[in-house]
Amino acid sequence: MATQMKTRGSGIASRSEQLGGGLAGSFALHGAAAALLLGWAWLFHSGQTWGDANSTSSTIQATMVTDIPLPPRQPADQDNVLATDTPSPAPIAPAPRTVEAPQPDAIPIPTTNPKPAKIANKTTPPPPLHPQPVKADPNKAQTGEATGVRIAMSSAETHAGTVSVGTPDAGFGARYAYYVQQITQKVAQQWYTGMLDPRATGHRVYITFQVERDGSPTHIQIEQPSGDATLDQTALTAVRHIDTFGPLPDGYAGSHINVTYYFDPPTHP
Amino acid sequence: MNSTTPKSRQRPGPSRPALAVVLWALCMLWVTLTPTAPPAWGQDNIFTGTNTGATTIRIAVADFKPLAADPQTAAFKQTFDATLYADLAAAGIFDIVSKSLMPPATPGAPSDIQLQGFANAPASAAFVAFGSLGQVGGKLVANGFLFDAKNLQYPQVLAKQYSEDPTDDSARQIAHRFADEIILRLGGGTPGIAETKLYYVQQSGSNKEIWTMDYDGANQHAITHVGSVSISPRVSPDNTRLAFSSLGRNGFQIRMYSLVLGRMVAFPEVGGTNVSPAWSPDGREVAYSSSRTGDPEIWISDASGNLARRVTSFRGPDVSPAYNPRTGAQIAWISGRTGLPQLYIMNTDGSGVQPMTDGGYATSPSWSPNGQVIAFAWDRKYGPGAPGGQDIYVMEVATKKWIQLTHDGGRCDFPSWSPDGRHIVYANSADGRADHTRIWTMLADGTQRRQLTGPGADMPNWSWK
Repeated sequence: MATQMKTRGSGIASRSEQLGGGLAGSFALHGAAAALLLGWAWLFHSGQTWGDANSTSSTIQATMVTDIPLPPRQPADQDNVLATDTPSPAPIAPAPRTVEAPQPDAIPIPTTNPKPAKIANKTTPPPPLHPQPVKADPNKAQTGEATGVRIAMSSAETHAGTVSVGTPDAGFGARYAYYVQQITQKVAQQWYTGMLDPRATGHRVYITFQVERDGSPTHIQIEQPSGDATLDQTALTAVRHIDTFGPLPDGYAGSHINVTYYFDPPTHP
Repeated sequence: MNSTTPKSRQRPGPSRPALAVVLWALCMLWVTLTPTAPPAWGQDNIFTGTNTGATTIRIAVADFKPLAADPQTAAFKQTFDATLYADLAAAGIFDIVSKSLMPPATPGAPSDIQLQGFANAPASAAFVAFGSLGQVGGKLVANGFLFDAKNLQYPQVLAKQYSEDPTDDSARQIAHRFADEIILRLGGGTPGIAETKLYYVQQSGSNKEIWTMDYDGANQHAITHVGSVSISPRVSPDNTRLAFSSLGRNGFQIRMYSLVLGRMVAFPEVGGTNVSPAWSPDGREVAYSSSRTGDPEIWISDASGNLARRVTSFRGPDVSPAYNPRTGAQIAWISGRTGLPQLYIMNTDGSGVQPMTDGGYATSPSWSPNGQVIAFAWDRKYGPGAPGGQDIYVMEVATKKWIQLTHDGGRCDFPSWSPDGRHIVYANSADGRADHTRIWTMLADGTQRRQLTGPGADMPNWSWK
C-alpha cells in the first residue's frame, strides 16, 4: 500500500516536471512566433496608414449617382452591371519626375548672360469706335413669346365675378411641404456614406444653413456635432456640395429660410 | 448610391400631411426654444433630416380642360396635352401616373379639382398638373396649375398663365414652358430642357447640311445651304452662333453661321484640315483641331477666328476638343500620340495632360454640365475579330471610373450632354452603315432610349440652354 502510494506520488512528480518543461517550450515558441510577426510587420511596413493625410480618397469623392442628377433607380449589386461598385482598371498616373539635387562640391558652369530681347516701343492704337450692333438676348422671346404670368393660386367663381383668394401666412413646412421634401431629398442624395466610420451608427449630427431666395445654401455650419468626426465631415460636405435647391416658392415673401438638417447614419454603412 | 434609400423603401415613413404637421410643430418648437431668435419677418425655419422620404416624384398630368368647344381649340389641346405629358415623362425625375389610372373628371381650375381622387390609389400621385386651355380675344390662353396632392390644406405649388398666338407651334411652346417650370420647381433647381434645341448633320444625296430640331425631335428643318459636306455643328453658349466644319476649296475649314443674322459670318481660312470646333463656356473662344503645321493639333482662337494659339505639341493627331463647361479651364480631347486614339484631359494652356483611357479606340468626348463626368464613344476591344463594338460610356473625371451606357445596339458615336446633365443625345447606326445613322436620346444612366430622327442624321449637339 505504502509502496503503491510512493510510486503514485513519484509518478505525479515526474509528470509535473515533464509538464513544466513542455510549458516553457510552448511559451518560448509562441513568443518567437509573435516576435517574428511583429518584426516582419516592422521590417516590411509599406508606409501607408489608414486615414492619413495623403489618402487619395476623401469625402469630396462623389459617386456616379450624385454626379448625374437623376434619382437612383436600383440598388447596387453584383448582378447589375449598370450599378456596379467595383472600380474599373484605370490608367496609372505617371510618377512625378524628381530633379536631382546638385552635388555640394559641384562648381556651377558659368553662363553668359543672354542678350535681352529687344521689344519695339509700339503703342497699340485704340480700337475704332464703331457702333456695335445690339445683340438680341436669346433668352428673351423673339416674337410674340412671353414667359408665363403668375396668377392667383386659387380663385372662386361667384355671381359677382371671380374672387382671388390670397394665401394666409403659415409655417413654411406646412405651407410649402413640397419644398421641404425637396431639400430633404437633395441633401440625402449628395450624402456620401461610403466614408463613414462604422462606429458612426447611433450618432446624429445637426447642420444648420440658410436657403436664399435663389435657392443657394449659405451659412452652412454644424449646429450640434455628433461626436463622430467622419459623420460631421460627410454631412457638412453634402450640404456644401449643393449649388441650389431651386428658387423659393413664388408665394413666399421672406428673404430666406433657416434649415436645421439632421443626418442619421445608415445601420450598415 | 445613398444607402438610406432601400431602408426608407422598406419602411415607408408617415404620410405626407402627418409629416407636414410634425415638421411644422418641430419648426415652431425650434423657434420658441431658440433664445436668440432672429426677427420673425423675412424668413422661416425648417427642421428636416435623412431617412424621411422616397426618391422619385409621382406626378399626374391631367388633360387640360377646353374653355371653348370649337374644333381649333380641340386640336391645340391635343398638341398641348401630348407635349406636356411627353416633356414630363422624358424629364427623368418623375414617375408619371398613367392616364387610365386617373379620376375621370377633368379639372380646369383649382375650384373644381378633387385632390383626394388623385392622391388615393390607384393614381397615388404626389403632384397633379392641370389647367385649362382656350382662345380668348384671338389669343391662345393656357392657365396651368401644379398642386401638391399630399398637402390638402395648402396644395398650391405653381400657377401660371400663358398667352400666345393661336398656332399649333405656340401650343407646343406653351406646353414646353409649363413643363420646364414644373421641372425647375420639383427638380431641385435644375432648369428643364424642354425649350432646348438640337443641331445635327443631315445627309441629303452626297451633301451634308446642318439641321436643327426641338429636343423631342419635332420641328426639324435645315439651317445651312452650303452645298457641300458640313460636319460637327457646335452652337455657342448664348445660342447666337453655330460653328461647324465645311469642305471647301481649301479642304475642311471652320465656318461660322450667325443664328441671329441668319447668314454665314467671317471666320479666317488657314491651311490644312480644320475640324471639330468647340466653344468655351464663356463664348469667347473656340477650340478646334487644325493641321496647318502638318500635324493635327488643338488650336484655340477667339470667337472670330483670330489670335489662334496652339495648345498641343505632340506627334500624332489631336482632335475633338471639349471644354469643361463648369470651369472653362480644362479641355478633354482625343489624341493618337500613343497609337490608337485615346481620351485625354488638359488645362486650356496645354499643361497638366492626363490620360483617361489606356486601351481601345476612344472618340468624341463631351463634358457634362456639372464638370464631373465625361461622355465619350469607346470601342474597348478594338481590332479584327474583337468582341463588342463602339458604345457610349461615361467616365467620372476624378476617379476615372466608367459606366457603359449602350449595349449591343450597333455602332454609337457623338454623345452630347443636355444642359441639365440628365440626358445624352447620340448617333446610332444599327447595322453600322453610315447612311443609316439615326439620332437618339437617353437618360444619362442609359435608360429611356428614344429615337428622334430617321436615317441620315448624325453628329448631334445639344444647345447650352
